Amino acid sequence: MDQSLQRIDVKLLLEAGQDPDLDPFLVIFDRWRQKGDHPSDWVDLADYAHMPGGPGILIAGKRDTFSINLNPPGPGLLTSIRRGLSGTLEDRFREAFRRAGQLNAAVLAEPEFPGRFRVLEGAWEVFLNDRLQFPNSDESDRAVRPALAAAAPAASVSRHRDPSGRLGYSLRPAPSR
Amino acid sequence: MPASLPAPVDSSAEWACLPEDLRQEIDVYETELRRVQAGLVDEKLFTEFRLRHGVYGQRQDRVQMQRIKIPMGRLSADQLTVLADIAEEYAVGVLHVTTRQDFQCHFVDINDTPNLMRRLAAVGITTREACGNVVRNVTCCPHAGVCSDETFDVTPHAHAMAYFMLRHSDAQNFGRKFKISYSGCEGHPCGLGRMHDIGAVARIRDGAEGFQVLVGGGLGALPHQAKVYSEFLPAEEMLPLAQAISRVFARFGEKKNRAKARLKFLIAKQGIDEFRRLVEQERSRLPRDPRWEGELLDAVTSLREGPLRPPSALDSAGTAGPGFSEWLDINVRPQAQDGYSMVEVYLPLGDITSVQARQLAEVSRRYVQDTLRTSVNQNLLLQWVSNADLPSLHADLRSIGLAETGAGRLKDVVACPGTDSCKLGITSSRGLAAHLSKEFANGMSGIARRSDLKIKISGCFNSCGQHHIADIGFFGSVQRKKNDTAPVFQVTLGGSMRNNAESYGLAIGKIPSQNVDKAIARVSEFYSREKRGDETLSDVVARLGKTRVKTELQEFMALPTYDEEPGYYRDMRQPWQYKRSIGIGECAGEVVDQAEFLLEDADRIHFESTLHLERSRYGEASAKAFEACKKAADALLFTKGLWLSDRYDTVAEFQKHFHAAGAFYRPFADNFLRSAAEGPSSDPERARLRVEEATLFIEAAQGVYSQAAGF
Repeated sequence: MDQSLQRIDVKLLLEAGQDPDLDPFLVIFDRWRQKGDHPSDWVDLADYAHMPGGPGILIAGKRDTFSINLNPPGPGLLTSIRRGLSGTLEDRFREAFRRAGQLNAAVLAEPEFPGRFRVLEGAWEVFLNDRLQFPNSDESDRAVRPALAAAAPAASVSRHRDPSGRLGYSLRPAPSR
Repeated sequence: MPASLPAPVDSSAEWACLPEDLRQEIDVYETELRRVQAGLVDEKLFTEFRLRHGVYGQRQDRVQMQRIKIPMGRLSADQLTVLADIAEEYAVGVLHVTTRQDFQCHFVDINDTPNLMRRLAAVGITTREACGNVVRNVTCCPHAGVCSDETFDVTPHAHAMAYFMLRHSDAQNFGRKFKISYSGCEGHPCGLGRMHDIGAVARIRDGAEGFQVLVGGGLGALPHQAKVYSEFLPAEEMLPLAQAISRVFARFGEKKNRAKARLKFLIAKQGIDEFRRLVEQERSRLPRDPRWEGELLDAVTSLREGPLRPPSALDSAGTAGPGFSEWLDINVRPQAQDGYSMVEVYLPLGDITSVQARQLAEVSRRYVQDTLRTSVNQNLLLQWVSNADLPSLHADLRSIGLAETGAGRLKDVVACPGTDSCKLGITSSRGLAAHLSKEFANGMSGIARRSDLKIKISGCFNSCGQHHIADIGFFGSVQRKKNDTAPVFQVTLGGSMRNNAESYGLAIGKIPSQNVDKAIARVSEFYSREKRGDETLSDVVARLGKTRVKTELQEFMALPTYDEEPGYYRDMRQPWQYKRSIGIGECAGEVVDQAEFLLEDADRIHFESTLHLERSRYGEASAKAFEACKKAADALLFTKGLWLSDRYDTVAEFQKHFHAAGAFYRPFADNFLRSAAEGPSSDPERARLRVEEATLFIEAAQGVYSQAAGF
């Protein structure tokens, strides 16, 4: 199994209620774009708020793309890593979570971040966005799962069941006592 | 070999599944990409080269839009699945359906494009000639084959045309793009024949299938209605006619002034009669091509579309879920074949997510047999749905968020990409369309499902959103007040898609972006008030006159100052101050002479010969060296008016035009002729000599070309 994975999607799930208003993210991402000094190498915004259950509003970068994303299984802050990963698979997952964590913290700290969105702590979805190297197969799963489990900030890692989708995992926190 | 020289790509080990010719074509594309990145290929040449592979520079620096050709909009469930996958992995998880029945993905890294193309090729999709100065996607009425009004099914004819013209050597030297469409009937708008370079409209004469042929139509900044080239052309004459027109366009069409380079300007300049004479002359000279009949025969046998399930009646709507009746009324249309319906899947702004596309492919597998089509209205269509399946299909579409009603209605707004991604965009056409979409679900819901009005929006005057043929059209512009610039839309009223786009709308005046929704509501109300009988908006505008119509909209045209209303100085769905910024668009491509492409090919092949030499493969090295020289000779022969499709003998013609005429440095020309006579050699010394001779021959050919071209 090729270990040179570059494309990983990491999504922190949110609770948002019915038909959330995404417009505040236009303001936030525009400000990020104007600053222009982020290592994600921002290129521009893209507005897909007109698509119910779609990719929402995103700020696309050469290295990473970040978005308020409504795709199944639900709303979340999605960091799509496109390049700049190195090392072992575990190293790559660690770096992906690090970047996602930084971007999530930054957006949550913005004054326009809508109050009705609530972070579901420890609830992540992870996708290997590279079917050529990592098809959605048991063989890929055997290679990936230990590395992901070691790098993930969550208690449980379960593989998605949809065989037509990308190789994907749900990460959940330990149940509270 | 110096480390900086990129080696030719050979993906045969990983991509053995691909047909050899397609695999090599994409390998060459990747090689050229690496060569331009290494500074070995002229940027302008590469721009047109990548455009001819569907790779288009976005407004934003350093990212690409990948356009994917879907001839006639026909696609299978497996193809839709792969499209979904590549949009997810290489773009932002959205597939956009265009007004030419293509798909587009945005924010693509150019380094991903070779594998993206290979994955598409594996399911029979090419991106070749989706952009650039070539024959673009051949469009066709999406209802073809199942429409009760059609004269006959034009699908195989459009298919034959698409694959005959694809990569055709006579269609590689245009000054601008070239668009062809097929319509199954005259009355309905689906094929939009009158706005195409060639519009073919089905007709039957004496029991034989044929076409009314329209030529020289086009929208853009200066729209032209197509002229009738022939009232009836036998179907088997369509491919040779298109080839002859291509040759005339390549020979006489404008190459320097991009704004005047479309076929419509050539016909306007020459007159239709002189144009017809030139085409007939060219047609009479064409060497017979077995593909003229072969492509159509192949299409007729390979495109047997039919149902997955037996015909049936829709039992009762009582068992159907919420929203079924309205969906049935708006999105479903009976087919010509009893017991079947076609179902239009409404896509807001022509967008579908990767997740939905994959789910839709899965749903379609349950009900139809690979009979999906994209439409020029930026929706998707499922043909051959057995009527009894409609309630469960509706439920399945609802479960994946694709059962929204509105296809073909007022809310089904068509928009080009505008400033979202196009370098030429002046205003945000998609932002306006998204805003209207929201309004149609809320304050304007009362008029959202009108079937007698249609809105189309372009972000600039170039009309990619086809605003000219909408009842209510808009194109982006700007207006200054004091020192501030506001985004506005010029409104055009009274266009018509009837009779294959029979009339173009008239510009009424500029309306600030922020007032467009109110203006639409007023036009709708005005039309209802003034309409007599079956009159279209075009009829009403013609009867009452432009001045009267303008009066209705006057109150929305005023632009307040920035101090009074700063919101007017923001574009739709862009909460920041508007700033006009346009670049050089790539829709006009780069005018690159075919000879330049052939010389670049010669260079690349020559480099391959040096690699063979380095690896001690002497036979291959000398063969490649000769192939490279032959390409360079073809480039020069092109400047003498010889076309590759003439199937001439390169060596003999080179001897006549250059060697005997003393127009090429004789020792190098002698070497080429000697290589041709001797054939490839496996002898190391001789192979090395051939490679070195090829270097000199290609250099000399470039010199001769530069001199002839006046560089």
